Amino acid sequence: MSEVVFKNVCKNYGQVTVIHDLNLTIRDGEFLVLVGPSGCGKSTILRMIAGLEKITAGELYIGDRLVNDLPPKDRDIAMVFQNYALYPHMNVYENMAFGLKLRRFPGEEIDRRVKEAASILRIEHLLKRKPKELSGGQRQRVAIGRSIVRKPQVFLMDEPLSNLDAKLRVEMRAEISKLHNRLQTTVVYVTHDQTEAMTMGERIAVIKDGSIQQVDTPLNIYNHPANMFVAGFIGSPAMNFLPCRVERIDDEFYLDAQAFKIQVPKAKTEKLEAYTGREVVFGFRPEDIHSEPVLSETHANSSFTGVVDVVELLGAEMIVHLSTGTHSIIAKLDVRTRLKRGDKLQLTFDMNKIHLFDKENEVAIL
Amino acid sequence: MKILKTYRLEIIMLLPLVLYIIGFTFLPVMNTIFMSFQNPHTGAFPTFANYQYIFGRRDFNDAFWNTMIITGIGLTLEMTIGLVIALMLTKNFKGRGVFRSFLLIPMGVPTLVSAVTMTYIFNIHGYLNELLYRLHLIKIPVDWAGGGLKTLLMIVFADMWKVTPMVVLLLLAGLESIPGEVYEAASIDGASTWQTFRHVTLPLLKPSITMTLILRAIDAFRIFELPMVLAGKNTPVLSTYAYMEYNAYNNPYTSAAGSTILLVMILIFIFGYLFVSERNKEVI
Repeated sequence: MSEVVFKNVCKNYGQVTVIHDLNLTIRDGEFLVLVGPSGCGKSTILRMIAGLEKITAGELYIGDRLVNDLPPKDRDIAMVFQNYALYPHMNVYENMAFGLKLRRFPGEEIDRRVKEAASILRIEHLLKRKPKELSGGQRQRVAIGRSIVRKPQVFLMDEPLSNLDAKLRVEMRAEISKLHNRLQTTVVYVTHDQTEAMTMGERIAVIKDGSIQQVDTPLNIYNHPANMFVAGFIGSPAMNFLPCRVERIDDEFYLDAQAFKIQVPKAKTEKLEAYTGREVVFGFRPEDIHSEPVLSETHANSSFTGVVDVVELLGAEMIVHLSTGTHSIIAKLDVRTRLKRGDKLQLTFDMNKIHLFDKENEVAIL
Repeated sequence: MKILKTYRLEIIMLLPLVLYIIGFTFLPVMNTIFMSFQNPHTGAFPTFANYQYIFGRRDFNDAFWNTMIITGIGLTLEMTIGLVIALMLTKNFKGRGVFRSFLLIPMGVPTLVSAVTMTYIFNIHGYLNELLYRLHLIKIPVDWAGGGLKTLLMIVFADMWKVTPMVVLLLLAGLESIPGEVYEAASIDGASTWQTFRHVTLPLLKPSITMTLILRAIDAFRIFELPMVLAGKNTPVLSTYAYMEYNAYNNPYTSAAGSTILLVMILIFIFGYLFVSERNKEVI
């Protein structure tokens, strides 16, 4: 069993509380991604698991052992650092063997494990080189190799790909996922990059200001964000938010955003009763707006007119910045639509994918 | 001529310094080297007579070995104590800032003043004898300046007091350039405090240690004021030997030979320093 369990864990630096009452269970063999903006406390959570930061209050279990006061070396974890943290004076082989040597593994066992890890990571030809003779991607492989030779219960990875160039990052992302499939060891992975979180995590924990906002599978987080922060943080380009008022005319509910008024489908009106006449925040993802004329004709109740401000062509798709009334909206449209600045465009919302948030506490209504 | 025109201002501004160095450093050094190979009686050049003479002299041999012993013991102690203090200063503790400031005081004291201060301690009626007497460790006062190993140790102590802060500063800079993540990686890899020091700190500090050693060796070979004030001519080192030959015995030619030998020793270490600092650049 290599579950990691946080029970009411707090972390203070003097008077400042950086982690508030954290409760989280990371399941055995799971790939969990901690994601959030800089300074949200995600690295602190990881470092608490590693034993590099003391826990101010609460309990932390790895497997079934309480590890609050256990030094890092006794926690049976391995960590991959953002800046690799390789020993500059040791060659690749020595870097990977160091932990095993300190634990007094027999020489043949060390040799076997290092060579096995090197072959998994395809760095056999680099074993004699010093870290300074390696590229960023190669160093990262060595850092990962150093952690897997120990066969720990839990891997901790602190933004391991953030120093790599974009292409290499995509490659390494897939490699780390493959490695996890192969080893089936618990991985806790910290990143500020929501794409990494979405593509790698079996579950994602979104963190803001030292508190967990939502823990769920990537798809659930994307489709059913718990609040405005999660909705805005996950997804690129970010979700659009517009203030609007809930109106009820007969049995139908409408969202009035001043520039346009759209009808909420029957299936989604259940919780709207309480918000009748009140301001809410209307959220929709850029890809949930469509420009096909046939849609705006057949779904007049969910259409609006926007004026094109900026067009960003990405090849397969394009990002269009529009304004409607006083609002700015970002839409992801098909490249076949020919657009230029100042064009007027009829757009239709995919009403099954809209989100509404309470204006006061920013929690999702639907 | 074109160069003169293009860089006229630069040349004018550099000229005083260039003239100063030529007049007060380069020419005297060249003259000293020339004199060391000149026959004092006939003026013939070149000759090894001066070198043959001083190599046969007991006081020169004493001076040479005294310099070596002071450098050897001094460097070992300074590096060890300096490293311990530097390691302490990397830790966070209350009053670290004050401690760091106090540590630097000896660096601000002129060597001659520190030497005179040391005579209060090591004088035959000094504090050290008083202390040892009161502790019933000695019955009659020790003449620390009387020659032999004890005199060399006294000079080493006085030198240490003065220069260990510099060693601490140089090593501290080296220690602080080791990234914290490497220590964290070592602690996760399972290294104890000693193992971290042995396998991580020490190897990564090697460039700083080498540089400090060479810099200090250059300084230690030149040591002059401390042995001069504390021990006088009883315990010569190379620099005081050269000085005495010139000043007390009026032997400028043998003095020049002694100085040239000292110069060669120092030059060896200066080239060592340049070599190591170039190599370190490549490492980084």
